[in-house]
Amino acid sequence: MMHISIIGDPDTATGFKLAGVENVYEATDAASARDAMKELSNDENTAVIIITERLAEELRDTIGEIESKKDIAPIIVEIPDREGKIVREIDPLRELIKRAIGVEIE
Amino acid sequence: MAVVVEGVHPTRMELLKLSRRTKLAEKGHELLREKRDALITEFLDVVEDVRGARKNVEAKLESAFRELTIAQAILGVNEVRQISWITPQEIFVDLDTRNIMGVKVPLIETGDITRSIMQRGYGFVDTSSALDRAAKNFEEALVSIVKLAETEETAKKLAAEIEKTKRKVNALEYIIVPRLVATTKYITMRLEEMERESFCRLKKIKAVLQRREIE
Repeated sequence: MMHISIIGDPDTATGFKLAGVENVYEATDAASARDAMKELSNDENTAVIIITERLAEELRDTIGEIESKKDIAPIIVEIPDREGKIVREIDPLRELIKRAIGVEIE
Repeated sequence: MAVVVEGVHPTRMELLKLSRRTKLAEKGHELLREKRDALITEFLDVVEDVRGARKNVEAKLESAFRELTIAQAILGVNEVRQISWITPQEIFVDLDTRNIMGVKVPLIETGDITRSIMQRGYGFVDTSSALDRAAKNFEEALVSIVKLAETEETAKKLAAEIEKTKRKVNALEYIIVPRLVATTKYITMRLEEMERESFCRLKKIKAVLQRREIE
């Protein structure tokens, strides 16, 4: 049995607590989000880490490090927060396609 | 022109060995190319799923946050927060893996995430129906987020495997096979040269012997 964990701003945290998620980390700044992320990445009972895009953007390096070290778990998934999704210079999915296939596909 | 494999002796034995190696490399190249193409087809399908799942998550979250805002407006931000702490927290998932052409990809199984009003554990008297809708919407959002996590991770794993396979295919196609072919050519030319040399030598010796006989 594994957990789902959430790192998010107070509103996101409240929302998912209402939905019944146990491991909710309220983070208002990058530093506390980073601490939570590091802690969660070492917890082998965490299957999925949900983090808001805004916070994830702040800790790209930490996430990259975790992604390169792990096998399957934890899966890190980024979600939009109350303000909606953020506009990014590079769409991560498109970047993935470009890396895998070598050409851009719409 | 590709570089010749180092340290080979120009002998017929080596030539035979080389031709076997070339055949093997070409066969491996063919197989890996097929694997790469199959992986790409699979990957593109998964990417479509990821796109759909992400759109779904975005829509679900948007309405969830809208309901949450309404609940917060009615009950107050702190009240909603307090209620959120007393809801029973019991979501568990099972993380399994599945195999797509030798690539391990995740398979997340969840129990029931969406609950009935009774299971949410807060009283009805001093709460609002907006709170119920917010909770319900967040539960639904969570279901689609888990789905997104699964497909997104699958796409990442497949992409990594495609990259690896592509590198192998390219190495075989542009380095290893040309090198083997160049070495084969080198040995063949070397053997022919040696043949001509010994032919000349024999001619020369014959001429010398004939001259001695005349003398």
